[in-house]
Amino acid sequence: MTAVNNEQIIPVTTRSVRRRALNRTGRQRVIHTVSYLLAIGLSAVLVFPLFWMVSTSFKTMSEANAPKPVWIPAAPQLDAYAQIWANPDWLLYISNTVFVTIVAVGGTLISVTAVAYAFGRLQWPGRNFIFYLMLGTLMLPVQTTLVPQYVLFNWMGWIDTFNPITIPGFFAGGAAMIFLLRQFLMSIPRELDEAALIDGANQWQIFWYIILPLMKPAMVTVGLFILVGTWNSLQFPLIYLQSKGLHTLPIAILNLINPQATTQPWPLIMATSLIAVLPLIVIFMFAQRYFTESIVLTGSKG
Amino acid sequence: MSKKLYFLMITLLVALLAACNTPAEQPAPAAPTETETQTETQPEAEAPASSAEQVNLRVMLVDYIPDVTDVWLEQEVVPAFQEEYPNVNVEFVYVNWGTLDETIQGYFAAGNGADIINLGSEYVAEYGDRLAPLNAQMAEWGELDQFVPATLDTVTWDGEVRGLPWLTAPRAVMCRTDTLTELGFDGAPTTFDEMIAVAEAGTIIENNALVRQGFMADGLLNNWQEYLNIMNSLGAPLYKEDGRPNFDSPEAKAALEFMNARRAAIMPSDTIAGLPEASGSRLATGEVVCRWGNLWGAPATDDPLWENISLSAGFTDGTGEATVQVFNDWLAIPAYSQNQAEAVAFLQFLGSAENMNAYNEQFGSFPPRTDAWFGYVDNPIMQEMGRLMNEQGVGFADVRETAQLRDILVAEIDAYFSGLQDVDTALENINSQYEAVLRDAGRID
Amino acid sequence: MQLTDSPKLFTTMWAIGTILFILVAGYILASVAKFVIRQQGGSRTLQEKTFLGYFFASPWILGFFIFVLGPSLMSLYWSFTNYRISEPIVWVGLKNYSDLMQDNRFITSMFNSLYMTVIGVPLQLAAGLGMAMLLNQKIRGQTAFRAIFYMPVLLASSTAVLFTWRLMLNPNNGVINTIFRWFNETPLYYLNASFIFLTELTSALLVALQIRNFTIVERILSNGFPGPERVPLWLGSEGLAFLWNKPSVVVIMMWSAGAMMIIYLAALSGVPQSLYEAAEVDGAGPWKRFRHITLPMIAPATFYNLIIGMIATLQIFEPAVTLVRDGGQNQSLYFAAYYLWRATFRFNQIGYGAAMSWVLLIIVLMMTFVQFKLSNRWVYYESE
Repeated sequence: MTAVNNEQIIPVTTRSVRRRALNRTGRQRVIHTVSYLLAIGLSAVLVFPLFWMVSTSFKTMSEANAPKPVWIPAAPQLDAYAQIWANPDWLLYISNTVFVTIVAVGGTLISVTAVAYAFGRLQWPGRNFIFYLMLGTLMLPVQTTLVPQYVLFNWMGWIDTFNPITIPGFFAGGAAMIFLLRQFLMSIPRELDEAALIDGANQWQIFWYIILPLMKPAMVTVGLFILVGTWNSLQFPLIYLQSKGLHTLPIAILNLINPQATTQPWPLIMATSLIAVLPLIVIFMFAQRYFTESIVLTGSKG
Repeated sequence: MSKKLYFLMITLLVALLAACNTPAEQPAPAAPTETETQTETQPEAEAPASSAEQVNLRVMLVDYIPDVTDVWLEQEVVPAFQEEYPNVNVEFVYVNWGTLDETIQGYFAAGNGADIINLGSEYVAEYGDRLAPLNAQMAEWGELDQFVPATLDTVTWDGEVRGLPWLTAPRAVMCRTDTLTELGFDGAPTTFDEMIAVAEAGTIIENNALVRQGFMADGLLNNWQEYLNIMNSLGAPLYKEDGRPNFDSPEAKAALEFMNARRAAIMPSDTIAGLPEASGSRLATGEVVCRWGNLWGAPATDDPLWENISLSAGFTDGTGEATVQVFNDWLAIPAYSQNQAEAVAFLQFLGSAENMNAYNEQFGSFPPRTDAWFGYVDNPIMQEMGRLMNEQGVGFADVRETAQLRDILVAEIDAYFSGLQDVDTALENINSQYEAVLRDAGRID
Repeated sequence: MQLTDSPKLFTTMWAIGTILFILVAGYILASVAKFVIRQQGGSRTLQEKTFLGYFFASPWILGFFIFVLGPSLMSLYWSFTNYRISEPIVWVGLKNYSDLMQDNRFITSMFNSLYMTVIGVPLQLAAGLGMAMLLNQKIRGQTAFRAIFYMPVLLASSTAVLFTWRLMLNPNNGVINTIFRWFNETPLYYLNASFIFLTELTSALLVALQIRNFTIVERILSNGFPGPERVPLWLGSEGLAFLWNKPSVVVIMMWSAGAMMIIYLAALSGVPQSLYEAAEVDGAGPWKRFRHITLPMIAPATFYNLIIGMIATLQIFEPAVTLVRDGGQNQSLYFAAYYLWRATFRFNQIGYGAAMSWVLLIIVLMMTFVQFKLSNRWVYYESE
């Protein structure tokens, strides 16, 4: 690939450079304004589904599905929310989802961090082979192991328990997460470890006191990925969580749609959806600072 | 290099050994709870009802109306049952329709699960062999002759009754008579030609979008269950004598061509936007003129709107009588159950006329036994529907490898309806693909 | 194991047990590794390092055997049998594989993925790149915009949000078609109509390729240029709606292109500003600079996004369940993951499902391989 070299600037005369620079600031301002407006417009488009969700959840049944869409309900209804409030099942679904998410995120995050540390910071025989093996599993479609895992879980008596969607994470589930954390670890200067080693720290202390605090942004990011994945996941819970008492929010919302029924309770669906989605947005708002920071960092060090 | 490899193999082997031990090693902390459940779920099998031995009966049900049916079952039915059988503790496992299949599969795969399970209408072909045959117990009970014959279709396999019908919903045709009169028809369509005429005249298209549809079958125009019913109405069974599928019969073709003509009458162009999502019964909103389906998709039976709604069986080519497809949820006892005696007792207790009536009232569905047709069933609409079901009802039963048949039918019918293939190709594909499925499943030689 | 009383307690116990198991098994694994190194005469430091490395990596190594390798081998074996839960296993050789090659539903799912790869992924890439370029302008409130642009990614896989889309994409009274109709009354109608025409034509072409019958394309052409009464049929289920089901999913994919945007942002921040300045001095316009500097410089990011995006097209599952009824008209949203799920859990055909998953693996590997081969021609790595 031929990229333009810096040296090519030299032949240009100083005057023309200055003129160009002047032009550029003027043009740049226009570009910035246009970009700014574009970004605002695009934001509006991207947030629109969320707006529609909120708006629909306050509509009456007939407004929700009116021949001419109702943008903002004439008299906001709280029926859907009252219905959720009155039905203790929703509390159970929420608590199930929260429980599953906490266990899965906790277990996965700890193990993934440990494994990434082994790949990113430690030297040991066989490391590269195992690392590439791990990258190889990225290519493996989840479907390949779906069925035998079902049989395995069935054999272990795990069907219709939370185990199949939580426990596997403890075994550093998610090669992509390990990869991301490893990339981040590689960007932390080695001198830090060496200095600590000279000061008499052992590997455990280095991991605990030096590396872990530095990994906070990356761990927040990976934690967020796992959290979103678990919170939203439908396919695995659909297969393994069979009793109603174990259902998570995505299944519960899916069950609101009854293909046999004449009417879908859209305001209720939207209200439950909002409840399902809101925690994610709030957590993301808190985490997003770390989030983009760590990705940009790992990306550029690729 | 070889040393490295050797080393790796050793470590992998060790890890493998460790992995194999997982189930044995891992439950250490969970062990006490585990043994607890085992003593709970596997009590003495032969315990007779009168024995003082505590029996835990697990009943898996689809929870259609949370907080209504479950409350009724737990607070009224079970205490009443326990007056007779104080030693039987009944525990309910509620599942959702969407995960019912996985649940049942899990039970049978593990050979362990609920003692009474909730099955769908067409399930007998799939699970019949693995359910306890109940002819003897039911003969002793002596109340089976009260049941609508079509409902017993769905629970009979290999000459044995395998369970008890529980929730019955016949499907028939309902039409808005006021609209029909407006359009110049003097009654609900009973033949193919009449139906197509109503479909065409009743459809309103504005702005290239449907406003009213002359006909709809449970929300669809390509409803595969309706297709099987029309085939039935024409007198064609789903299977031939030797068990091979019957989609190469002239009736199968006539039925499909009729459905396509009806669809074309409603959608004269393929760029029309369909109706919006439903908000209430489309009969009530005036979005359809005629519909095929059960009473759930219609206005409530005490709604005054029923003065303008007709109820009829369906359509034929002009000969014979249309059949009424009868859907049935039913309760069965898996062969693996260790508590057969108690399960049968509870099943029969649930099956009393009073309980059947009380349960079905909560849905507005039919109690499967006719002596339970009192109270809310005295309504004239229910009576008429009951009569249709009793006289023209055919159980939606014994559909072998249902899920696969559904996929095959829908795919081929869609391709035909959207002009990607002709009717003969569609039927040929259906027949050959379904035959292969049946052969793979060992249902034909 | 019915611990219906307190399933959460049950899982918590298992979680604790699992942690203990990993610690113990990891310790054993690491000790064995250390022992082997000692036998080979490795130094004390090397032994120590080996122990630490294997101990830290043990969760993944153990998990690989339990949840990946073991199940994979089992699945490979089953793929040659007619295994159905609770029925005896019978060896059928390659029958499942040969059946698969003639299975219309599987072929449909492959063509659906092909559509998504050819049409959906590039559009999603373009959306992600567009957003990244916009944010790369260092505009005010960049952090907030970045968060907003990324947010759909969090939501896209949620059932709840897909239902919102289902409502918005209703062809009759959905809000998107309502907005569409506004424009149909203005001169912008030509834009709308071209969009409809193009979308239907591309979808129809793919369908025609699949069934090797081009009448559907002829039909679109004979329908002619869409009139002002036409609207997209999005998630409809009648008429030509099957040509629109996949484009609906593409819209949702573009909406959630934030993940690709983040990768592109990282790549864009790595492009030296001096290159642009130099090119500008040489008189290269914005398009030329984009074409000859930006695109080549971010090619690795594109490559990464492309592979991830293509593999993801095989895995589309939720839309088939939530957006349409049972996979859509003409099985337009039947993707491999969905069909595999149906075959296994609805049809009980575990052996067949296993064969399908292995064919999927081969396809993914082939796709990745081809991509790598092709990438040599257009991906520019800094280190080269």
